[in-house]
Amino acid sequence: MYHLAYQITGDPEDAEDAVQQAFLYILEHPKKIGAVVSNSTRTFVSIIAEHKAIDLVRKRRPNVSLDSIENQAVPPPSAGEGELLRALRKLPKRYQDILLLRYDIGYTTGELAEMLHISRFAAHKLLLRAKNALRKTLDEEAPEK
Amino acid sequence: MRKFLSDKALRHAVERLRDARLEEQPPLEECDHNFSPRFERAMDQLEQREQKHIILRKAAVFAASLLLVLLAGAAVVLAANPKARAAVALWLRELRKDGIYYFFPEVDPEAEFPTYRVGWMPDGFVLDMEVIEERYYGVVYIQEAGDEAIIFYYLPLDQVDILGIHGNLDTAERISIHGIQGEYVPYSDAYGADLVWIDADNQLLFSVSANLDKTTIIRIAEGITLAK
Repeated sequence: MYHLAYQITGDPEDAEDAVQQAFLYILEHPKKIGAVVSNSTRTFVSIIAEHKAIDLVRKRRPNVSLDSIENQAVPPPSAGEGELLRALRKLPKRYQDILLLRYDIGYTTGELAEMLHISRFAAHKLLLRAKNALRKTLDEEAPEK
Repeated sequence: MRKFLSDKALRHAVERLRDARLEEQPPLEECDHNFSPRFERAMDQLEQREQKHIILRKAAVFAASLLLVLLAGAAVVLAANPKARAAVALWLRELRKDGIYYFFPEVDPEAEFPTYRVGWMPDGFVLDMEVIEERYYGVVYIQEAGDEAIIFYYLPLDQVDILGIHGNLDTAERISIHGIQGEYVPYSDAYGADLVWIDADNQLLFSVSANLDKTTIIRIAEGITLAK
């Protein structure tokens, strides 16, 4: 968690604060943790730590642009992955996070809204945009087949 | 051509995305970090606070039981006295500079959640997403040849803390959908509007949002009916 937060804040103290806030959030949402040692839990904890780090940078250093982090590309997909997984891995990280929270951790739109500090309607729209981006990526991939 | 994405396929792919992303994280030995005494103190406080919360939660259950007994007594008074009943407001409406706000202090957390569905959509819109949750229903229709979307959702009032409707308040209107009072609030920065109406009898909040004209938005709202 610290490592992920530090990558975003670039400051050890801020990273520790983000980890602390992530713990606080997790304590308040215990139902989101199924098996303590599982890939789902690790992913959930990672996403929360990153989002708390982003919240903290926004609050403490409002002039710092977070676009590069929020739209960060993840490592390129490797050959042999399924079409849908390849398309998912081409999405910006913030869209991947939304889809992971919704379809892996089981977040409701209300919970997404609360975590991202947006309205439920906006959370719904964000999910729509993430799915549309995925469709577009799939369409762009299609001619290569 | 839009691709159809089933929830099942998406869920399966997302699980594999999760595993792939975890594999890309650096090994634990590379993430070694000695936390500062300040962090350790803060985490100790957090742990103590959580212990207190567990005790407080137990106390809250007792307080809630006591409140239920008191409310049951109040309900007898309200049932017998129509004036007293009328004085209890289901919601408070507040007009602020940046929007219309509703607060719901007196809702029933166990009000039924009946099934309503969309009955009419303008031509050229297709179902894109349907979210069915225990106490929330939302649906998104998108334009086949274009970027417009129509979003409808409804939920019981106990799921709403504060409702804020933002937009151009100068052109906002109170309108009625099947006899139920609603707010029609055009967007400030785009074509379209939010339409929200509250069914006080059934304690439900409905919302339709779209980048469409008023007549079409109202027609969509009027087409929403109780599913048989």
